[in-house]
Amino acid sequence: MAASLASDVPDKLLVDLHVQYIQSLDTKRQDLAYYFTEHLRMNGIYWGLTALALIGHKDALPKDEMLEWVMNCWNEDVGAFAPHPGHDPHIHPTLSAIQILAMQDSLHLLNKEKIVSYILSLQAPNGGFAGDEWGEIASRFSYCAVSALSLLGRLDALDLEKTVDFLSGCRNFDGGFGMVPGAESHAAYVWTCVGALAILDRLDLVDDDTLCWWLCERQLPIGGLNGRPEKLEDVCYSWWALASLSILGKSHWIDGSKLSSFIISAQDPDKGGIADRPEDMADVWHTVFGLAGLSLLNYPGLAEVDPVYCMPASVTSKLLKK
Amino acid sequence: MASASAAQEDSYLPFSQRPGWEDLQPIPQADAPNALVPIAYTEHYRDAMDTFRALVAKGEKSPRAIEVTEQLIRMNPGHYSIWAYRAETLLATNADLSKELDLMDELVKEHIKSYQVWQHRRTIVTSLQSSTRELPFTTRALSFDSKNYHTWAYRQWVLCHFFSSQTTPAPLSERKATSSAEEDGDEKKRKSVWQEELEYTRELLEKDVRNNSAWNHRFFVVFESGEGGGEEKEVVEREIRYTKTLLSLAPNNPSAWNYLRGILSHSHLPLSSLTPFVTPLALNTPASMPADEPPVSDKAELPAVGAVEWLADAGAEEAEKEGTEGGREKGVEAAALFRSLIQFDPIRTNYWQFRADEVLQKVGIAV
Repeated sequence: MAASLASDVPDKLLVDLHVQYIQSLDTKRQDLAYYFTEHLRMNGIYWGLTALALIGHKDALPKDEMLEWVMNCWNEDVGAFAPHPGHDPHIHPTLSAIQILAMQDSLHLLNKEKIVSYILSLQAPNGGFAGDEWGEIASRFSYCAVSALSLLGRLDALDLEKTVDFLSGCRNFDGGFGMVPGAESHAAYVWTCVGALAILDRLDLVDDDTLCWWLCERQLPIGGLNGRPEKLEDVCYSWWALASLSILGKSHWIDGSKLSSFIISAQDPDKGGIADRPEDMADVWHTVFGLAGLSLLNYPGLAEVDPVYCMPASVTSKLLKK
Repeated sequence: MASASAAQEDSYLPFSQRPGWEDLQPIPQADAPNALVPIAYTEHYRDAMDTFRALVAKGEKSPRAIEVTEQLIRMNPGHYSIWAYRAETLLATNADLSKELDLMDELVKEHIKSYQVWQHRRTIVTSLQSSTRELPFTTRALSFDSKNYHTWAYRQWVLCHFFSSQTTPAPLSERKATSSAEEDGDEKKRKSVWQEELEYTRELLEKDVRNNSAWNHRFFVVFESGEGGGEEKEVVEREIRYTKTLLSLAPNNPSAWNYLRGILSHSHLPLSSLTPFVTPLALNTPASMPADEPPVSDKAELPAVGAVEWLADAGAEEAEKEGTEGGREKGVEAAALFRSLIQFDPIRTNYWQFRADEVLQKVGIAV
């Protein structure tokens, strides 16, 4: 592994290219990949919109068209959103739809009580949440449930004790959290568990010294972070690991300038967008988490991101009256 | 290759023109764009999707629904609505589920990172009520990707679902009448499964001592599953000894140090209880390793950062216990150790500085 970055990679934030890149995503309908990612389309719009909002170009995607498309994914019978018209509803696109509407100041379009019942119906006896009626349980769905209820102002409907029991059961001996109780610690699951516990005001259940050490151990000499020991660095962990450290007030434990150079170097200098690591293919997922990571690092020109909700802090502070 | 795919394209027969499918009117996607580039694969996918929509609209659960969903998941394993309909159909038609597992065995190789491949397998196996194939299957999957997160989560689910004495027993109506001899046999089988699981982690760590997934699984088996005897003193001692042996061969292994810390924390033992073993690794004095500890390998790179960190943490733990009265000397020593780590691990300078300052403050020294 190279301990320093090549010299011909970008060295500053390519704002205009990122705007063009995100605008271009919806015009690729002749690509087969467009169809193969339908099940992630709602998430993709949330990622793209959040990225644009963080670089101050929220209006680069047409609002009315976006809202119309989102509402076309609403399933009145189930009380939830599908990731794309004609697909089955699921908790993850439901959270993304709520986040999109929150950022577009349009939560009034929602049938909140139906969504609340849908979310509560997915809670398993062990306190975990399933993603849909097929019942895969994972801590990322607990985050979806808790975050969605919080944005809807209906945390009061949740069985707090059961929810928290499951999340703390996902905690491991190394201080990290996994997908389900027993599963290996993984930075993305750390964020979903810590984020959910933060929303529920139960960070007392985190062994923060051990966890923050484990998180800051994720930084590799090249500056990027990995998600588990002995794995490669990847821009997305600039969000999962750093946002967790930030929630716990320890983001200064890692080398921020090396991390921001790593993220900046993973930009596509020709077409915009950010990749998992330098010289790989950019995608919207790494673009939003790269930009959100840079925001946590106070990179100049970026709006402040809320480390718990992964949306502009201006949106969450208004909505949650923080 | 080009001519082969062109020939394939020529011979592609849309579902609606195949015998046994003529009655179905394909339903195109509502917002499909008009100008699709007609590459062969796209046409096959679109035709299969249009046919799938027609089946769903009719609510048809049939062998042909199994056929068309197989084609679709082979092309696009992320589309969970297709998986869901396939699972419903398999169960509704009493299809041969062992054939479905054959298909899953095949698909997992290409789609090991797809959530749906794993959840579908879980649905099938739960319905089959048979675990016979599952541990060997995950062993094979791990043999080509030993850290795959889905595979490990699935293996732990199999162990808990089929071999845990702690899961809720099946309702009486679903239980087979068993003689006590059979029950003894089940009990024996259960114990040997967990024993073999421990041995499996040993084999994986022998191949790659830095495999964090294997360390995590070992902790799960011994201390969290309720089947590994983690509450017994001799088990704790065995695990400490085992980890020390692997650290004396390769002391720069954060996973092993974390595991060792996990054992002590689980058993409420202080870090200082391992100082005799850790000190030679921290100070690069391998010859001074006590005779009753595992000998240090010639190839071990010393000093080991994990060992220095351990000594510093052990010192901080003791200094904190003794507080401002007696802890000053130990606090100063620990702070010096933390600061010494900055040269070995400069990227975490802020962390080491924080730990040094923290321990000094705790023993009443201004920083």
